[in-house]
Amino acid sequence: MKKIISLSYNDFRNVLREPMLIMLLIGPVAMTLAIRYLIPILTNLTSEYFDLTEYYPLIGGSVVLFIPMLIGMLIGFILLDERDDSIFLMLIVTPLGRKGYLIYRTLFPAILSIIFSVILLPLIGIVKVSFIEVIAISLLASLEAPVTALLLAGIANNKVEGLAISKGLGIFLIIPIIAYFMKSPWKIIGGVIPYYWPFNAIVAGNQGNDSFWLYIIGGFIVEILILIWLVNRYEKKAA
Amino acid sequence: MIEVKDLMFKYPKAKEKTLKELNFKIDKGEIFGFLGPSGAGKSTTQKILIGILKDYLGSVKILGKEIINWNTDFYEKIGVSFELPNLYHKLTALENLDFVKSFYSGKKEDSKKLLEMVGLEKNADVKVSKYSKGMKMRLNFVRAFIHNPDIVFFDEPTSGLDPLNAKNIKNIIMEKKHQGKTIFLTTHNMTVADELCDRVAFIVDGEIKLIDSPKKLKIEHGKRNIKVEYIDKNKFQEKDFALKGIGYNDEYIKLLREKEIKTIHTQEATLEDIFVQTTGRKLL
Repeated sequence: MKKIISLSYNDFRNVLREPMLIMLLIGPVAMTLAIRYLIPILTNLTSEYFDLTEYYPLIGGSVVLFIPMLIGMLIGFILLDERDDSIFLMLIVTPLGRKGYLIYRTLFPAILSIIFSVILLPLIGIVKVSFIEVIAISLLASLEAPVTALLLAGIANNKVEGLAISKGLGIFLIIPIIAYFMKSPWKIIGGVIPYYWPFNAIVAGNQGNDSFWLYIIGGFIVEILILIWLVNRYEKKAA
Repeated sequence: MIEVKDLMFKYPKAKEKTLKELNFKIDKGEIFGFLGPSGAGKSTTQKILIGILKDYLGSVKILGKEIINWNTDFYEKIGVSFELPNLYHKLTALENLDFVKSFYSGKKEDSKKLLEMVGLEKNADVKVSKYSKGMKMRLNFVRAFIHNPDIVFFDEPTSGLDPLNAKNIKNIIMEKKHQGKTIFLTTHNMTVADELCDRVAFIVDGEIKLIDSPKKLKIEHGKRNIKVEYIDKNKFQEKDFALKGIGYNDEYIKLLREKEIKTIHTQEATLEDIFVQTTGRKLL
């Protein structure tokens, strides 16, 4: 426990010393508040032309994805820093050990993301999901944070590449949105993208659809498999 | 403290074994030098000894216990300083030390005292990103002692340091030896090895070619000669004399009496000469 506190304190300290990382940390809060207060105004302004409320689940779904994604990027950049400075090697020869480090690096972004999601999702204000559903979506979406972090640190060879890749990660947000508009059952192919599942869960939850739990369970299976693969890959690349 | 028997290692994708049947034993309070050119297997051996590489063949016992049977308690007992500094650049030197210290449970050293040892006390609160390469090396070096380990592993501890700081690092290593610490030193710097090590192992192509004390090696491999440099007819001259019966060598004594002597040296081999002789390879 002492080690976890020490590691997370150190992470926050490192984040607070780099403006880009501070932005990533306040990003989810800024986005939630913007949607809560700006979208209703926008809806009023555009009401003569079309009904924006139809797209509320879509907007809500994007926030669900955005929170863990930004936190994932944040931790991804920390991982890249730690690899550039060979910190990984130094930490695994302390009593923390290789396992301790990898477990921490997987769970910390997920837990951070759960905390952010549970607090922020009810604040979005434009989608109607129950508290239980918020918890389920937050838990599932939280797995995206370590997925994003490890994907970023696994593909990028340095921080500059990391920046470029973090921009490319946006494609993962677009795929579930395209699938949302598709009528074909083939849209399930989008399920290989981990972000597909929590997005659809919030859409289904908002419609009071039974498929909500299907998306939650399917999502957990897919995301955990991807996570295991990414952790193994990262371990090989870092050592 | 360290006992290695028939140690072999092959990287998954490599064709040949990186380490071929290494055997050595290191006692408490000993400074053991592991010398060889790049790619000889020095780093691989060190990685096995510090528990990073686990799928080796043979036996590696540290503090009486096979390394794969140790849990993370192992790291309470050993300290490691890698060749390239591994430091948080956004943190100060003191923060770096205190952060790493928080992972250990036993008796710990005072961070400020450690910084003093390597002359960094005035820069304790400066971010490491502002440090020079040598300062980072010194911080990285001294961190290995933070949890008062029994065995300390160093990889090229003096590389990139000015002579004064290199001297200080060597003094600290000697002091730790006298406190009973066991030290495993990986290097290709023969002067450092010569000055510090009780014994050295020459490793080339994954094989240990020789293990002995530097002093003994230098005497055994040296010519039993004395070289005298002197001035004669306004010119530098030199002459060799056999050490045996030197006190009765009239020519030698006459030279000492009549000429202006500049230097007198016994002709021990340098560790570098011996390395080249025994392994047929150059360092670097």
